[in-house]
Amino acid sequence: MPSLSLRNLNKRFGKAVAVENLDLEIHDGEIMTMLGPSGCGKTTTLRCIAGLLRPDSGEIYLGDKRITDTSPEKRGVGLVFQNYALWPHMTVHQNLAFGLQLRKVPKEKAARRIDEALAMVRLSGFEERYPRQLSGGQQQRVALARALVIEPSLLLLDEPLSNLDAQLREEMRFEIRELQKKLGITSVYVTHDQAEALVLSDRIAILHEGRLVQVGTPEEIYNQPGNRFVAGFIGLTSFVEGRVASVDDAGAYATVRTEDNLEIQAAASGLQPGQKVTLAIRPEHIEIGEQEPVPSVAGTNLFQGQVLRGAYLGDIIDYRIGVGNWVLRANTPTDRMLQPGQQVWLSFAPDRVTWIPA
Amino acid sequence: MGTKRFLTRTVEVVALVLLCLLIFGPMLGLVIWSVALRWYWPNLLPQEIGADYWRQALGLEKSLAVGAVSITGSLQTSLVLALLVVAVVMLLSTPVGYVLAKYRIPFKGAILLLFLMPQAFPQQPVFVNLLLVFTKMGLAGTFQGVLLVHLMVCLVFAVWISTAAFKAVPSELEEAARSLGAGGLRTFFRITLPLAMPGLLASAVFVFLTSLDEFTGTFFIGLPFVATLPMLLYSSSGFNLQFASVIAIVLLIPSILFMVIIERFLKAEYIGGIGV
Repeated sequence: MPSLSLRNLNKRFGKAVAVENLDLEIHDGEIMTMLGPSGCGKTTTLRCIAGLLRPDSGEIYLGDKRITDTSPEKRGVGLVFQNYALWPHMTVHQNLAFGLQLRKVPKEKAARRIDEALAMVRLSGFEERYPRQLSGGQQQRVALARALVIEPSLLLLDEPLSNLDAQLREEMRFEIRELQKKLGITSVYVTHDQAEALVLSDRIAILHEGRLVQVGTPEEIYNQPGNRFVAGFIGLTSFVEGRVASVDDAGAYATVRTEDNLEIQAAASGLQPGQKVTLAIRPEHIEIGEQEPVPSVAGTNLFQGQVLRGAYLGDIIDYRIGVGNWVLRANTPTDRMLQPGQQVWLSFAPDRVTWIPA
Repeated sequence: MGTKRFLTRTVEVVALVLLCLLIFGPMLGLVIWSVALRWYWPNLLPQEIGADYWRQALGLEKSLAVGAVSITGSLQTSLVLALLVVAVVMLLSTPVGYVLAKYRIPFKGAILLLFLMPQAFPQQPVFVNLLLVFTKMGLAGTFQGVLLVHLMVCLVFAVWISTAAFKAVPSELEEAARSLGAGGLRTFFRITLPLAMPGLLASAVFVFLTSLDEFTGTFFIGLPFVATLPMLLYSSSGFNLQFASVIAIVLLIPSILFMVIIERFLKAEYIGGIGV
């Protein structure tokens, strides 16, 4: 399987910039997710890769072949759409046979490959059904089989699970991931759903307003968000802004002081005294205590705060807690209820505080 | 409860009968008139009935009675004309509709509006003017002239309907075909056209019926040399109600036939998928 490389891609619609100076390398056999809010340019990029849109400038290489100007039918790219895009006037078999006929695959061989493709998406025996006779999940699996049966060198998926209900969506994430790994097909997956991206991807590319913001494995993206947008977009994060007051002798930990004189210990890696930073703290790393812990352990961050409000989410309760001028989000299990207005103590380890250049 | 249900049912039946009368009543009158040989006041129904007028109208029997009309010539003119109009209009409106539906073209709204223009003005003045032009061009009173008039009238609907039909085909369905290796033409013929077909067929039927029933334009441009069925109906309705009824029924037959076809075809389940 070839790798895919996007080099300095640009696309505008009128005056609106859809994609700007995008450089992205998708490795051989990798599934890369392009993640971002709607309007971030992810679908535009995907359509450029598929050949359905022409970039204004920049190059697209599949392996070492330049495909920037190749028409879509000559790219050999499998494409899966959000709304399935099955042909309603053809049976499942005919939908799958279409691409094979165009490739002049002999009938018997084509029939075998269609059988294999349908078995792969667990839809054997559905050959003679029409799309309207299938559920949404089944239709999307047929669409996947249709894209895969031509043995494309690249698989593109445009929000393929967004029209399915939550439970099915969860199952299908794993299914798509497994299938992709089994076939080892280089894939680009577009979504706005961060949970989907975290589960599915080898690497995630975060796009924002047409620009590539960060590329990395799900762990890297989650634990070391490159900027405030990424930190806020992936998972829940509370932000605190301040200035580095001091860095300890070993250079391991820094003390960051906010304008309202809170002092927060953070892992220092690369911080310089005097530098302005934004600290990002994930709710799951914050411990909520209802009494002041005695003795307080030196080196941990401990702050008194007041519960502003809580939201019951079923598995946890999500609280907003006021600390100084800041609002931190933290969770408790559902058997521990806190009342709005209640005084609490928040503690979190300095290692869990990541910093983002302000 | 029993009486209440009985009352509701009664009201339903009465309403249904009234509705049937409303729809089929006038047609029933036509049928009775077309077979009435003798029908004088105060009789509620004809005293003597028979197929004489039908036989004469269809040219099976020659009668020397005043006002006896044979409709076969006009019927043939009407049918040939309507079929030609359908062929030409569909050949024109299909590509035009496709382009209007699928491509970003400047002044799209204006172009669509332009197609509506002939219908935007009162018909008579338009056709009177057209008669002057056509007379100069030697088209007045010719089959070609009438054909052009019918094209003008029908192209309007056809372009609008086929634009809508092509618009209803989601572009993802075409893009999927492209990505699987089909070029533009193949995608059009294998995917887009079949999916737009119900709409295009409806348009064709509509064009056929419009041409078959077209009156004003044919009246000004065609008469007296090109007489379609509606012309014949008009000229006989004044003094020979029996012949007029026969012609009216003959004109009704294709309409009813096509309604049945449309209804059956548009029910075909696969178009249910188009709206995805």
